Amino acid sequence: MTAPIGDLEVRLLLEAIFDRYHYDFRSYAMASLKRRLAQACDQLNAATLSGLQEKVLHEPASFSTLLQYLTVQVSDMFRDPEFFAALRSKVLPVLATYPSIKLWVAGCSAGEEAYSLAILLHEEGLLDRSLIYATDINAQALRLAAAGIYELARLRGFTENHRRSGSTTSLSDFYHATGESAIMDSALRRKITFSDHSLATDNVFSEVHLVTCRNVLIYFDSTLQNRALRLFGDSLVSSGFLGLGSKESLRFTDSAARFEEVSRPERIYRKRSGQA
Amino acid sequence: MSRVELVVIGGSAGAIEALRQMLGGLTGKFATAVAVVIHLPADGSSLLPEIFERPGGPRMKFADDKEPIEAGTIYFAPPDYHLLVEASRTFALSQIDRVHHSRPAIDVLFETAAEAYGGRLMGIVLSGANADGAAGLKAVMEAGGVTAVQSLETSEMIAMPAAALGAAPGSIELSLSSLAQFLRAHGEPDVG
Amino acid sequence: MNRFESITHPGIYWAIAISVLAVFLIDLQTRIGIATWILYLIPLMLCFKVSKPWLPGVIAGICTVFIVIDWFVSAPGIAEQIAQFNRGLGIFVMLSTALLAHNSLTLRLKLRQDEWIRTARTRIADVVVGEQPLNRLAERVVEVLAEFLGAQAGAMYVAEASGHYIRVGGVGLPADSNSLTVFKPGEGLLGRAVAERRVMRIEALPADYLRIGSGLGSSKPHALLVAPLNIEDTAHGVIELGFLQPTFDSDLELLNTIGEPIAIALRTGMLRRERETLLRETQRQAEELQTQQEELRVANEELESQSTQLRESQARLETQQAELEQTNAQLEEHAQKLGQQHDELMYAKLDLERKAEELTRANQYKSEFLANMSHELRTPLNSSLILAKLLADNRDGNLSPEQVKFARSISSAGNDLLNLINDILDLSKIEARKVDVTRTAVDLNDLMQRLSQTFEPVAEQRQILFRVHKGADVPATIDTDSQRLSQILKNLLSNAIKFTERGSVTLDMTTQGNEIEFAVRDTGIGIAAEHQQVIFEPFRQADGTTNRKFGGTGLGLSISRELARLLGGQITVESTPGEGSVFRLRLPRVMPAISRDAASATPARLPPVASVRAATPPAAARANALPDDRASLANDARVLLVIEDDPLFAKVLYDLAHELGFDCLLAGTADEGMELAMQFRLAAVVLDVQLPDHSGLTVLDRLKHNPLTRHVPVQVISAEDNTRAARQMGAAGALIKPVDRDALLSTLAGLKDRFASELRTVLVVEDNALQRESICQLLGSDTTRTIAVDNAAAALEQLRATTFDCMVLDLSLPDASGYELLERMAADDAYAFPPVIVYTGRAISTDEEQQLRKYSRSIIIKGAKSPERLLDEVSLFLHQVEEKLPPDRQRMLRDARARDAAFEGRRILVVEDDVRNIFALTSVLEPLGGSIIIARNGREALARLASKPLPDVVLMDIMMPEMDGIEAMLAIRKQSDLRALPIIALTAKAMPDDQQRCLAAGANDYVTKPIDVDKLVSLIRIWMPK
Repeated sequence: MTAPIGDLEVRLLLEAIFDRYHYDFRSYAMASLKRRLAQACDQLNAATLSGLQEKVLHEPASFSTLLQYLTVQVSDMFRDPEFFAALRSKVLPVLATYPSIKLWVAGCSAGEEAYSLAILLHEEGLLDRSLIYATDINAQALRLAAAGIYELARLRGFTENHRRSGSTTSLSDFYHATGESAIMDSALRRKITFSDHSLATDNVFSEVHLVTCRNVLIYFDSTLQNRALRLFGDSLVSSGFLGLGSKESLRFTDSAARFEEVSRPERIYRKRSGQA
Repeated sequence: MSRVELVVIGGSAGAIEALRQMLGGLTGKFATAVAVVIHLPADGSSLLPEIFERPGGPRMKFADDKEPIEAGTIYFAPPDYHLLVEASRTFALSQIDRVHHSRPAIDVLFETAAEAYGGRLMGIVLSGANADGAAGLKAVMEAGGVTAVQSLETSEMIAMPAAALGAAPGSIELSLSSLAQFLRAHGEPDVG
Repeated sequence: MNRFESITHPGIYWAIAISVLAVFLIDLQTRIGIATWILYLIPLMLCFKVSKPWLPGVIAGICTVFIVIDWFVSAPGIAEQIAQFNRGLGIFVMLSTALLAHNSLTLRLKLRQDEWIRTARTRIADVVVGEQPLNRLAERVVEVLAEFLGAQAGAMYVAEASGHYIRVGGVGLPADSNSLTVFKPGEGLLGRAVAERRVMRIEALPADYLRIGSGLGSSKPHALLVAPLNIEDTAHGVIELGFLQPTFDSDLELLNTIGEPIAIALRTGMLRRERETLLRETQRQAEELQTQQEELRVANEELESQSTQLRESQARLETQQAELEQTNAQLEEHAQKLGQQHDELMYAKLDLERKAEELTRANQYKSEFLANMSHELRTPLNSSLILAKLLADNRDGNLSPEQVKFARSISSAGNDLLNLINDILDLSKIEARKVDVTRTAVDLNDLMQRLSQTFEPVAEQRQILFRVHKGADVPATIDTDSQRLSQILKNLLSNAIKFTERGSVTLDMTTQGNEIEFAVRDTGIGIAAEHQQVIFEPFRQADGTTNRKFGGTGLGLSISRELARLLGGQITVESTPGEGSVFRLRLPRVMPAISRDAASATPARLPPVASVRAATPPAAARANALPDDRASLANDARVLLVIEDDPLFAKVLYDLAHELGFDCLLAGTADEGMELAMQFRLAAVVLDVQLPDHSGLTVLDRLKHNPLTRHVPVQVISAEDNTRAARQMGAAGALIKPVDRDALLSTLAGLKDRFASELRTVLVVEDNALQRESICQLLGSDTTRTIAVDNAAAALEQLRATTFDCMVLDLSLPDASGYELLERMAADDAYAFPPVIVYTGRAISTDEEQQLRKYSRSIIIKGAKSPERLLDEVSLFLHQVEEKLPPDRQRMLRDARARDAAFEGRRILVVEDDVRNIFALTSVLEPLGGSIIIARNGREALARLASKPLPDVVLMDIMMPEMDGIEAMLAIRKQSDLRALPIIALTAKAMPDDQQRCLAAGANDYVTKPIDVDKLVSLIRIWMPK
């Protein structure tokens, strides 16, 4: 792409997308967003952002393509195995004291993390009384996630991660492989509800005991990050848990005082009791 | 020439030794901030900040998302994340596509830094085996910043600095020891 | 200076010398035999105070000589032999003493030196401890040594791996010193010391040797001490010290002993440094390795992607080729199609033209038809009229009077019919815009005359006055359509005359600005206000009888109105029933060239009369005419706040309060009550619920949520039964009016006691003894008392007797289940109902959970982390740091609503899986009288809807497991008997198109979360079937 991207053009494009398609990217972190937009321009053969805007407004198919660029889909099962190990040792035993458990995976992409949580819960004997909500704004990803089908080649990496999270079972117990794909066990799929939900525009939909939102907040600017964290805080029961990505923290956010650290290296927090 | 407020450095094979020499002479009173991208494998756990940290020297750490950029500190890009600079002079981490098959990528850091800091930026490309950083250095130059590359004689792998020189001709080519001095000259207070 | 040799005061020497001489002189004076020489012991004793071991010997020697001299010199005395012997003894004693002194002094010196060395060693040990950089270590060591030895300058050198020694630290060296920084073994003085492995003292120094520098200059040292730092036989370093004054042997001694510890410290430090460097190096190399591996990987990928690209380009080229061929074929097809389209267009155009022709023709037919029709209609009618008239005239006289009357009737009816037809045709013409107007200058005088001529006779006949008048300022002519103007005026006038039985009808022409007004006034029956619009509409009359009574078609005014518009003017009416009417026709002086469309604009309706709402009288001023104690509170007063609007009852409470020793404050409204609660320190509160401004429960809620007042016991007194709500909100108790005096007294007394104790009590209901014990231990503390029971009956007894701050309940009890116990508690107001925590070991189904949540705040499943959680939750309740309820719930509680007729007895199906929301919705809707049925997801909802009776309204959450709200609604609407069921969707999604989806799926309406309770309630009210 030849023309450099000016902030004005970006803002106009995001406003247009919001007005027309009701996806709100207006509060996403600029630097990363601009690079994605540049890539999208190349892919869709637009010389400038305004050109991209025109395409996107008039051709819903172009918008679908753009959407795949704007929502970053990098996800693996049991990603950052230490996180899951910490969940297993520090969080799940507390969740076990509740008669029924609700979990929320915000920004679930194609579902890898939601299935990982389900497997973890099953291993700890908690899956029966649990319900996982997995939300994202990308309808295509949600469809994939609900199907629970992944390339067999990826499962190798997942298996390694799973082992490093402290599991004594084998990941293959939880999927069936056919040809080049693997499909997740239906017992897991039954316990996960995949839904469309936007952290930018929508509100609290349920009370949950654990929220994980990993490597999603890095794409939000401070304002949106604060909004998302506020939603998480509002959704959590008193002393409920929050898990973030390995390079994210509450440090520069408005919600820092609302939580206390359970495990700093794995970015697991707990809502202070007595807080609203 | 405007004062340098941020130094961005990128390198890969052979860059660690180069960094040791360059950073070894800096004190804690270093007046600018430094951001460094070294190509690292995604699943390794890296100890970069600890390796370079020494008493009396500047603070070394991996950059955190949305962390404000502070002078006197040297920030490293963590494995498997791109390091970007926002206009608000904070860092942003991201996992968008690999650039030149790498994440973190030097181009990403340099280009976003050029946008945010303009002429108050210094970009340095060190030894390495691919062309990551060339486009980035060009961006720094075009934004009015100071650009330098490690001289080909002192580089273990020349592909990277050579590509950078090609994209941003007119960049200063310096040997390692000169680079160290150069860095100090632009960064220490009451010098330069 | 830390030297151990103490400086002997010179006075001592003098004392010794003087005492020796003094004794000698005295002895000379005395004769032999007087043993003055004994006194020589005095100087000898004094020698003990000196630190030179040889001095006693010397003094003893001198004294011996003096004794001998005196023997020979002194005057003889008694017993010379004995005296001689005595002196000999004396000399012996002195010499012995001297020897003793010598030994003692030597020993003392030795001890002191040892201690000095030991101190030095300790100091050095202190200094070398810890991890410090090498040069720092060196400096400190040299400093300590210099201090101890009194050296003015010093330096330490350390052996490097290469065998060289380099200087690592120094003290007191001038800045420009050309002193050594490096030397090799054997080189120079230092080299020699190292080689010979011993401490050396050098005194004769060359002139330009190590100079000792200070701020004031530098000078050559008097002596140097060089000490190698050996461990066994290896010298790890050397220390060099420069002195401006002479050195002592003890200095060498010190350096000898101190060498080894320093060397050890040195070596440790250096080893440590080495190790760190190695570690760093290793790490660096590891990182470098990783980087290189990464590079390799990157290069690989690069290669792969390149080869992929190549393959792709290849494939692309091939497809392009194929595409090109295809395109060609397509182009040909396209061209063909275009040709076809062109032809089709041509046909279409011809078609259109034909149609247009048809249309015009059709219109023409219609007009002709109309024209013909009017002719066709009028002709036979005319004939009938003429014939009827003839008959009525009865020319031949052969008709009976009755027959004549018939004929007249026929004639009259026919006339009416004719008029009607005329009018209808007229009107339809006007409406079809087929009426043309021609503008001419109409002579107004002429017009007046004509009108008079026409109407005067009729008016005279009816005996009413008829007058036409033209204002002086009215111009002579008006540019308009003459015929139409006449038509309108005739219509108005004939109406006026028709409806006027007596009085007058006048036509006044006046100028109003640019317009001319023709006002027709009559003193007729008038037209009621509500009919004034109606009369202008075709075929409508003020009431049907008018037509029959006064004749006419009823179309006249409509036609007049339309005509007036055509002419660019308007007609208005004013009228008072019984008095008359005024019809005003206003026309512009010059008729504008108006478009046909404007002619049919509807007239503006009269604006509706705004109903005047009675202004609500401002809230009655708070009449707290009752005096209370607020002005006269003592400092340590126990204050009771009474919030009660009934002045009589308030007075009763006031007196009772005083009886019990309280000071009492009175408030008549909730707001005033809160003000007082904030202002004063309260011991207790008595609270009425029915207050003029807000419900007393809101005050209770606020008090319990405010940290300043949460500990204050509140007694609720109310005319209605709010006991359970009040208790749950934290009231100490609730009484229902009317209350007798004794009950009041005991309650207030109870409050007094309650205030006294800050202790919290927890009731533990658990049948397992071990568990019971451990729970009590867990929760018991200085401020918390636990009472434990092991069965439900005992629990009930406790609850009847005491108010607890919290209750921990196991579900499996010997005599009843925990749930039954809760039900009993809720059913009977005799039992206090504290916050309940269910603490159970068995798994709980979702249904059970839902049931339990009605009564208990919190359910804990026993497990590894449950004691922590139990403690947390109990603390929360005890210290009333409650989980803040969603803001709506607070309001819900505060505005305890009265039962609402719209909800009374209605069934509401709530489809929602979130317990918190279920709870919230239930607590709003149940008090209103609704009965709630709960389904946890879409599937359950459908199941529930399969059975009768159906609910009256459904609240459907969207995001649910198994079957979400959208799916559920679609399924519901498929069933014909459920199509009319009102469904309100509850969604967290805020975007308009999400909400459209709800509506499209079958919701009648929706509410977005967070739920606005008022809105939801009003929506339910709206959609609830009547």
